[in-house]
Amino acid sequence: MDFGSISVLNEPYLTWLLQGLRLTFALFIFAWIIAFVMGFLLLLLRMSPIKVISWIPSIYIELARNIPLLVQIMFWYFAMPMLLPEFLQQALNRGDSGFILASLALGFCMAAYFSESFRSGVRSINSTQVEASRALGFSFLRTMQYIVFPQALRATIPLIMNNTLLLFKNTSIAMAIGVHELMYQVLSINNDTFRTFEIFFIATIAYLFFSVLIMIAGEFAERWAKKSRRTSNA
Amino acid sequence: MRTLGIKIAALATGAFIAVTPAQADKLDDVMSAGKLRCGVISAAKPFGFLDAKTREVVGYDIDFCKAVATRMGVEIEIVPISVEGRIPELQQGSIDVLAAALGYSAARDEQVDYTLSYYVGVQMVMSREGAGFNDLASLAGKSIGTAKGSSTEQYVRDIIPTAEVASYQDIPAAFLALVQGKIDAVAMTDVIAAELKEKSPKPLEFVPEPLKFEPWGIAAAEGETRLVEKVDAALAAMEADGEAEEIYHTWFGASKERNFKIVPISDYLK
Amino acid sequence: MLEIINDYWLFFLIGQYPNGPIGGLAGTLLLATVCVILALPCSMLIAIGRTGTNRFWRGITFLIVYVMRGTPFLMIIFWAHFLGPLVFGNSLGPFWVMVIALVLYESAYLAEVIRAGIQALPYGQAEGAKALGFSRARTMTLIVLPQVMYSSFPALLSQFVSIIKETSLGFVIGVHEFTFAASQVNSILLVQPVEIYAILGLTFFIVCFAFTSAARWLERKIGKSQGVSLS
Repeated sequence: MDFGSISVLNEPYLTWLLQGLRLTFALFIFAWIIAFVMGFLLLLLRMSPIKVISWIPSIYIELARNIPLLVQIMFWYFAMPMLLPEFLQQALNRGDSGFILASLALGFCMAAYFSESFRSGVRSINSTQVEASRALGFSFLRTMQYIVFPQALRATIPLIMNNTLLLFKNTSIAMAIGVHELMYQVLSINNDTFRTFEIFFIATIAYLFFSVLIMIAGEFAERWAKKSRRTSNA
Repeated sequence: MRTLGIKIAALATGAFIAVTPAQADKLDDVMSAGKLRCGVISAAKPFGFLDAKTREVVGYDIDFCKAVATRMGVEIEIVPISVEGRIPELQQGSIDVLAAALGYSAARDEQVDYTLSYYVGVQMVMSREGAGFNDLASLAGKSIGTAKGSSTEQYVRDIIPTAEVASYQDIPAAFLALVQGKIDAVAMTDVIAAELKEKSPKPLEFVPEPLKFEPWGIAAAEGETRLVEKVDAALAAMEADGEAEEIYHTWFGASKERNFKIVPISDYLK
Repeated sequence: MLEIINDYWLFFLIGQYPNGPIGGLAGTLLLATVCVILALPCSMLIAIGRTGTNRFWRGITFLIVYVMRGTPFLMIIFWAHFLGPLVFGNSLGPFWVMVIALVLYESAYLAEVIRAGIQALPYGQAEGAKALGFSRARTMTLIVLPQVMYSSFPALLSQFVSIIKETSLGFVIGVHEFTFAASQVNSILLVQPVEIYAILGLTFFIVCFAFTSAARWLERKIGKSQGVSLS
């Protein structure tokens, strides 16, 4: 263990680390967008009057929350493409299939968590609000748009920040399918240099730094949420 | 409550001190325990692989472990480990020796001590049939799959610098990625690749130019010279009375000629 | 897929035992159980530190919880893998390394669940104990914690489900658990990933869903919900 010569930060390892960081962010952003959109879709499906349709999100969420993410990612990468038609498989392989499939796996898994957070937020709104707005002549959609969602947002944001933190940490699992994100690069560098303590220390600091940023953003969001809900729901 | 914290801290420190052991020579540990813990890989046929019926890990490496242990007069414990965890596990002491398809490299020699070479392998690149890779240079810029923590990663980077190395958790995962078209080629020991080629649903072909010629050794932790000497003696005896050759023919077929003998790795480095 | 289950069910269930260490689903559940047994006391200590008056212990436990919350579990596994044997001695195999990693990570999360429970308990309880002359330690052990453990039990059970899921990451350091067993079967069959990962996923689903449903039922029975689930 010598801290004197920080050799792990020399070339070419520095490039590897930065590339890893870049891919971690890319994975994080893509997966977050997929999770948010899918989570919202699942919420809407839940509110459908048709029973069968409203059950789909429940099944999906239970599957996503009870199967380990590692297993889900490996399934998406190795098993799922074999179920696709040949032309789609080839299109996938022309791109960076590891990255795409890892984003999809991570996004679809976290969508379940996002959806539960949305649902928590919506449920926190007293039903008398909805009743009152319907009585005043608001349609279902307008009720959602003007009454429910703005208030639900304030309750949901702290939960979403929590999920965002989890999503960020879970990007590291993509290393199992060969995505060159930060964790993967750390292990590659370690295999090359055997300077284990140094590289792990640096990488842990990197992860902690961004996690703390997300947590601080979460704290601010939580305070804003509490402030905006001064008046209790009637 | 004020003293509770101090009490807990004292307990923890005491436990810490009590549990940290003193260092002892590995050979003495092995002989007194009467057991040699041998780390092997369980997903690289024919060196170490799972026998479906007996749920045991068997193979060339395992047979060498067993023979060495018998000659040393101790029992054998086969410990399957991941490709990546080979050297860390050895360094940490959860295994005594490694017979896990460990190729020689100067960097590795600084981390572990090698015994005589018990196998000489050739690392080859394999691609889907018809891909048209006639030599290593044609792989420039292509994606080549390996097992994470294998020596192959370094060789590919040295010999084909522009190739993209994709490392998977184990060899079957890299192979599957090749079959599914996610990577252009895989690189590993030729006999392991040949086994996979046989089972492959899609036709595969070798790139004629070999990647690297690599002697393998059984490894012990750095500084365990007495243990290495004991294992060397066992290996030399196995070579002398033909057991080594017998093991070779068990796993590689009676007709295949063994083109090496058990000699020190330094012989190959000249 | 049924043929695979038929051929390899024993392997999926207990791994190579007795020709090797215990693995498979039994290995996974064993890991999770050992983790909970070791992590619960640690998490209680951390939770007490977090809600206590001593600034030093508050600070340390705050740090522990936030470092564990901010670091990917995979990173903690590798830390335990490389540092564990240095601290605890040489014969630490992957199983105990994984236990250490799980205990470190999960005590922080379990501590948050218990802390939420402690803070949800009406203050009158602690006040009454103080009035009766109980020391803080005795208040905790005799009054607060028993009630908190009872009311947090559903949330703790949900966290146990997370622990089961996290054991699957032991695969990357060669721990003999269910995902590793599946990868070993995969190395025999080589080109049947759909069936193998389907078996893997469905089994985890059945086991975890059973525990999750039990947790929900218990929560309804106990009648109150305990804070935000952190997983």
